[in-house]
Amino acid sequence: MNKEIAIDLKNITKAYPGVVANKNVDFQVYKGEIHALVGENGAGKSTLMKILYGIEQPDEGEIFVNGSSEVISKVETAINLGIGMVHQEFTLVPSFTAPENIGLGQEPKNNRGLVDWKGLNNAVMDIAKKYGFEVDPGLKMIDASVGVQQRTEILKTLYRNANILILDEPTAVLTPQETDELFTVIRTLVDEGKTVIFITHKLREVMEIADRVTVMRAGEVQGVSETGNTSITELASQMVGREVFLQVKKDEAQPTEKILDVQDLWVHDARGLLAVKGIDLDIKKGEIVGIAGVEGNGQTELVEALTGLRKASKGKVMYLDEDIASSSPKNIRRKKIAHIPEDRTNTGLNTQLSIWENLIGNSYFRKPLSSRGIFNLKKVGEHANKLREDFDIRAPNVSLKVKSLSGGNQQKVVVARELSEDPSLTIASQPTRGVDIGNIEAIHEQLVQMRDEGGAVLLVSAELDEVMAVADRVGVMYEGQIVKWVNPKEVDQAQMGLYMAGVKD
Amino acid sequence: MEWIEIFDISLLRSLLRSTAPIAIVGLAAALCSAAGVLNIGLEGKMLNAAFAGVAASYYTESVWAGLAAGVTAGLLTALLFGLLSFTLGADEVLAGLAINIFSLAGTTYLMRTIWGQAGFFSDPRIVGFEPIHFTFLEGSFLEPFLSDFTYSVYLMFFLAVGLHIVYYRTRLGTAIRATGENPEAAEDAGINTVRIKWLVTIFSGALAGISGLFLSLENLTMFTEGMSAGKGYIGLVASSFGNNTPLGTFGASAFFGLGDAIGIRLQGVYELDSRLILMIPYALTVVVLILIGIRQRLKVRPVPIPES
Repeated sequence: MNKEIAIDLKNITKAYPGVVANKNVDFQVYKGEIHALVGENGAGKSTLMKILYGIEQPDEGEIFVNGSSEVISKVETAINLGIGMVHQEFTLVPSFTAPENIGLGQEPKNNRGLVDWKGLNNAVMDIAKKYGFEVDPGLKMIDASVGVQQRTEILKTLYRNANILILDEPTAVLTPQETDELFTVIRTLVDEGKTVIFITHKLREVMEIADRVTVMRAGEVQGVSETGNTSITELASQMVGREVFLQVKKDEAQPTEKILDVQDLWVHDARGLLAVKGIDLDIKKGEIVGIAGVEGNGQTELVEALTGLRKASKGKVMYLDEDIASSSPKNIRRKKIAHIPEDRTNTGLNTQLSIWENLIGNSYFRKPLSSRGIFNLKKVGEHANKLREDFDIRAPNVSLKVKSLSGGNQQKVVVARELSEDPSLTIASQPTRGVDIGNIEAIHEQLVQMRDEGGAVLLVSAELDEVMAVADRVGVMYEGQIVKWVNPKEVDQAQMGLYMAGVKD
Repeated sequence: MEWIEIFDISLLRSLLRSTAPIAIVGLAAALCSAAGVLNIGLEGKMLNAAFAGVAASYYTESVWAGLAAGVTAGLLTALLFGLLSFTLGADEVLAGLAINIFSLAGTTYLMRTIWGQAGFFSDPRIVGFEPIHFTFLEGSFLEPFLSDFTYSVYLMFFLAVGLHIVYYRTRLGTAIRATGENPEAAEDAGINTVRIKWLVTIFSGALAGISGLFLSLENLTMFTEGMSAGKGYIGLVASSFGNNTPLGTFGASAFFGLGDAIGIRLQGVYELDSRLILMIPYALTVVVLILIGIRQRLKVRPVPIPES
């Protein structure tokens, strides 16, 4: 292998108030390789890449690009050095086509000073052809699939002459087929002499696509290895730092009577497309039912329909003996159904408000917290402080704004609020996203405890390990349908991968 | 007179005259909305410009001084809006409303204190714009369609076409549209979105100024209290109805102009109460807003659920 070094980060340290995101990090990428950067959420991989891309400045350390020392103080500098980054959140203009997005800000002009759209189209199509992309130059991004949008983002970096591409969790939003297509694209890029840094926490993908892998944990590099000389188990233990896979201590479930019975549920998404296509699902008291699947297969709309945030288009949602399909969220909550939403900052919390205000969001209207529409601030304070202690929310006081808390502690505020009302049914959607490992365990334990006390739990998560470890029964969702019900103890990950790809048996 | 006789060349001419002020301020609104700036304050800019134009024309007896003063008034008001919204971070709607209320009260106050007039101010010294007569069109069949309009009608066509080219054929235009639709994508592409917002605000201030100026110095040569009479708001509705595109906004403005023109004509035919006629643009605004609502609903067409 060609051992010329494209990127050499030396002794990088970056601290934010209260947390060291990167601590003496050394990170080397060879020219022409696919280098995976893995680690759990909060391990510091995003910070490291932001430093390389000029979004953040390191407190200490040096950056070498193609052998020369560089100070990358802004994104433009990184782009001029041939570094391109595809973020997790795409930055595309919805009503623009692929070429319009790719050329934005740098459109070629003709001799009358007008934009030469034809020239731009040709230039984009030439690049696309060279790297084996399929591009429909007339398709607006609003009508394009996630995979096409992502390829447009990659093309954008290539159009700006990037030689080193950073892909931040590119497979998180892709179906297995789209992931395969992306991997083909990445291999072509490398064949054409590009260098790819691939950020992920999915170890199977690392083994499949990467030449080498750097593992980070808690801001430090844990190891660098060639994928040929390592294994998923070894990488996992470096990544987590102790046991290999998620373990949740729990006894056999003791399910009793049926509490929720979803019958032939159909739900449209915001664009009028069918997101949920005839789902049947039941949950009994005393069990945790999991929904696994690649994100974007209708899980969001399913949960929204069950919690009253979106109208069901057809079907019944029987809760005990009542159809709650298209009931209002408040009515649904009154029936002791709790909801831990997937989007913590927009749906789960008002981050501009204090911890105590967020903690009483579902109970402020009842005694003793308020009477005749006036808060009893003493009782509210006691209530909030009790939840802070019970759920171990790390904050000096409950008057602090939620936005100043870490992701894990923010999530604990949501969980505390939802579980404090003693729900009969808890609908938890991606409950541990962006939460560090210690807090993940705490949240899992709380869900299991709910179950053991006779509550029912619906756990929707894109993290396969989480669903498999926590749930007693798992449905795999694919393109709006549950394609398979499994007992998590009786299937392995490979089999689950097939179901998640829509293979029924 | 038969109903059908209402539709003749003089109705078309009346339509164009009524359309011009709405279209010019509507295009200003469209430009702002395309860049993601909700510019409620256009109404106030029109009013200030109408006042400044009359004042300058009165004191100098020059229509060009009136033009300069009107545009300057529009620009200064736009500057105030930009300072409030972009520099000081005020809510755009509140900043716009404040400007509108301030402008109405300010021009009324100035008129009463300077000229001691209440209601309206008119004086022979105020010089207005004259229609443009194209001698080369004389006798041509095009003459009734193209000649002897005032400046605003020609400006309206020029702006609609010019802005269409800017929108879709220039870097600036794509930058404006990207800023309005996804500012992050625009920033990522190296576009300074704050600068874009300032740019459209200033330019739309000048346009609103011109539009307001034509109200007081074109067909009339006088200033009346609150003479913009909601045209700035109607322009906003027209731009929304036209999807914030130049040609769409022009078309929507012509719809308002048509309503106005028919109203004026009907008044002559049926001796309708003039107050009913004056109500037409506002009634049309409500109609258009309902149409916009219906269109939004139709945009999302749920896929039918297959029979099991």
